[in-house]
Amino acid sequence: MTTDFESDLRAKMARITPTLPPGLAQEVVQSHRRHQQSRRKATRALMAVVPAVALVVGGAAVAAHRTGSASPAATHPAVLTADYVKKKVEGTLSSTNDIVEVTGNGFVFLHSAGSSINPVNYVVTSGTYAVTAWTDPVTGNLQTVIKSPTDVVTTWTTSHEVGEQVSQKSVTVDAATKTASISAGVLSPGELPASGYASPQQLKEALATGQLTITNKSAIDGQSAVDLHVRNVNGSTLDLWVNTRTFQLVKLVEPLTSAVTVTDYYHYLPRTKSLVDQVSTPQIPAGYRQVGTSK
Amino acid sequence: MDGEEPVATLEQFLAERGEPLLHTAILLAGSRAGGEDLLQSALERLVHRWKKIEGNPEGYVRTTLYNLAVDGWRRETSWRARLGLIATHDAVPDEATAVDDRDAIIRLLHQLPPRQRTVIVLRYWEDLTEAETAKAMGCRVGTVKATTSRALQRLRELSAPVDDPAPAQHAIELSALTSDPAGSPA
Repeated sequence: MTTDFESDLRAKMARITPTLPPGLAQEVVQSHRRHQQSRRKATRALMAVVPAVALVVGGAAVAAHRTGSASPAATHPAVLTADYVKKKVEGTLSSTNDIVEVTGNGFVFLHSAGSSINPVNYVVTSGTYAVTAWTDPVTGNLQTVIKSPTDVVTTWTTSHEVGEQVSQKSVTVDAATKTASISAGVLSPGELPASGYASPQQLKEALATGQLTITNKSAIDGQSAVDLHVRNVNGSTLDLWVNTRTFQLVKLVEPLTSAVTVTDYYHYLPRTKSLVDQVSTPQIPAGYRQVGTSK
Repeated sequence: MDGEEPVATLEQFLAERGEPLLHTAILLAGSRAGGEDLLQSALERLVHRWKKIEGNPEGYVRTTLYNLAVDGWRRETSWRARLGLIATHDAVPDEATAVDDRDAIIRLLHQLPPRQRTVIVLRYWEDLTEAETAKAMGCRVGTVKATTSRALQRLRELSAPVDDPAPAQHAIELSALTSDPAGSPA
């Protein structure tokens, strides 16, 4: 027997008007290919000992990047054009082996989070929380710390490639409830491992498809930086503040709505053993109760 | 599909069946952007198994949508979800979206755990029987009945927001980060 409530539910579900995003088929096939390539790339990264990237612009090698720090760039044009900065940024995005520290205040999480193996739904209001994430680009290991006035939640996430699949494990420690939860499983095809920062692939896509302009110049954390303004085809914008010497991303600004803007600051920390251990090894304080374990 | 150009074949398939599939995906995901990502993920699986699927792939895509939804599927991690580099704009509804009453049901469904949301969509949108729903979700009929009952009860409790299209910005305490409402069995 169908109740009025159930009938009303059906009617409301029928009122949704789905509109397929343009280019979905193309995106599906490209995303599938990217996923296959990223898995191969991850395997290569794990095997790399001392990666070095030579970036060639205009036929000349203009920068080299080694583990630990970015090399000073060679001569740059007197006026940095958007196209020049774009090429330099693309070259540095995936070449660092430093631990990437991303910090932000006034973060807004208004949607669900977590992967298929760590499906945590939460919504966080603006301005209350401070988030710091450390990502090891070599291993993909990630540590995030989210602080509120009353709580500190720390999560460690590690990913491993096993044959055709990527397994991921998360350990979350909540200081307020003195609990620790562990989840582990295999990512769905196409699902990307957790990341503490805008991935090189994401940024490259934004740079490839957006309209780019250099709009500003300023000092960010004491570094000379220019603002590479990206206007996407859907009208959204992104400001990538880039160090004018190393061309590493130092600040990312993204207006989500007229009232909400996300701002991330990027730091590149030397790859010390203690920092690598901090990012990769969960620390569960004594006396914490384990909850919500899943596989 | 073997031997055909994947993009052209997918485009044709989506032209014919894309919107109904997206409709279901939006309900299953509990958001429009989530629905698009969920459908994309299911289509990627389709491409992955391209050569092994014979005939109409819709059944495979639907089954994949159900399975991913039951698993509490999320394409993005918290950090990725914040970035508009991947479409997430209805994660933060603008004023127009927030007042669009047609989407009130989406916001309502979003507040259900994935298994409850899935069972509601399968039973009341896909019109599957309890037995068919149980098969699709890989559980017993009794579980479907119990989950449906709990989901309907929860929807009744939440039904006020359906008639009140206020922005669905329901703040949850940070401690909820360590709970597992989406993944816990319904």
